[in-house]
Amino acid sequence: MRLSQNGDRESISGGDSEATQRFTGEVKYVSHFATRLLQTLGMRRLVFGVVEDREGQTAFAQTGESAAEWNGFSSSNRRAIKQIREQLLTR
Amino acid sequence: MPLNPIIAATTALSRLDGVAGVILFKGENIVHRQMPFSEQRADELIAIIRQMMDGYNQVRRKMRLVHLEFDGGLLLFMIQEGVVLITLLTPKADPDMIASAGSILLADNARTLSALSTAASALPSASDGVEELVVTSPRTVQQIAVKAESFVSNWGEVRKVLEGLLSKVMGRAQATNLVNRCIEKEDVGDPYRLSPGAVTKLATAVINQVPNTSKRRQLQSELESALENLTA
Repeated sequence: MRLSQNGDRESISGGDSEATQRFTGEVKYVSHFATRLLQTLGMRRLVFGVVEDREGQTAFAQTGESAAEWNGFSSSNRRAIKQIREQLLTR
Repeated sequence: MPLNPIIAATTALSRLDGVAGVILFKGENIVHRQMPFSEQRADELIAIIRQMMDGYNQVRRKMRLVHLEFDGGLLLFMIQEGVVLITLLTPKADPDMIASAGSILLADNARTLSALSTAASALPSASDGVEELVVTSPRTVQQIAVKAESFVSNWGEVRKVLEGLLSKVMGRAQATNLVNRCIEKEDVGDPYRLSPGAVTKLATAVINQVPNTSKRRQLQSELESALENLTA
């Protein structure tokens, strides 16, 4: 799935409606808190994230240098972080 | 309930390759906090993560793991029954391995942790005789490590050696407490700012606390050899 945000406008492509909704919600919620953590940690940007609960896993990675485009998935399967990272960041 | 086994396990987790810091908390109760920056900054980090977890709780989602990779380091936190174990990692770390170790730590201590209050505890502050290494301006984790190495002693490595040696004759938590007591007793201030000679003296003073003479001698000789290897 790919989520693009441009000001108030956002577009999402790929995945079924349930997964899309979950992915969008997760990316927005986590990236909001990650942005707040940047200053505390002395870092500049979030590049990759994985969130897991009982229902499954959501993973997302920034595409290129843009903070407004996220590529990833929401799935009921759980995979190793290393494996997901390789899939999302080294493509 | 005694928290020593949990603190010892958390300290052991912080020694895994690529782990730069660890925090364990439940609500307002900070059980353990060991980060390569000031207490204030660690508290800010906890406050943000607490808010994030509160948001998930409000929508009745039980999170297990959150992994955030930033441009200069990683934050991996595991959650179980309101207890949050945060690890700050360098790119050298294996997040899957740390996640497994952290989840096991939470599962193994689940009973004690579930009995813990969520109210703020009286965690000893930095005024316990050991001055904390404070980084006042934001830096990436790697920069912190490089900067720290340039002006601190090798006390961190010596302490690991000491705790390893002491664990042959006592439990890990006991060993950690013994080292802390010695730092206070010897009144050396911040051990990370000691000269190499003073670090050796402090390490010897710690081993001298072992009551059994033959074991003490054995540990002293092992300490000397380990210190030689460290400086080689």
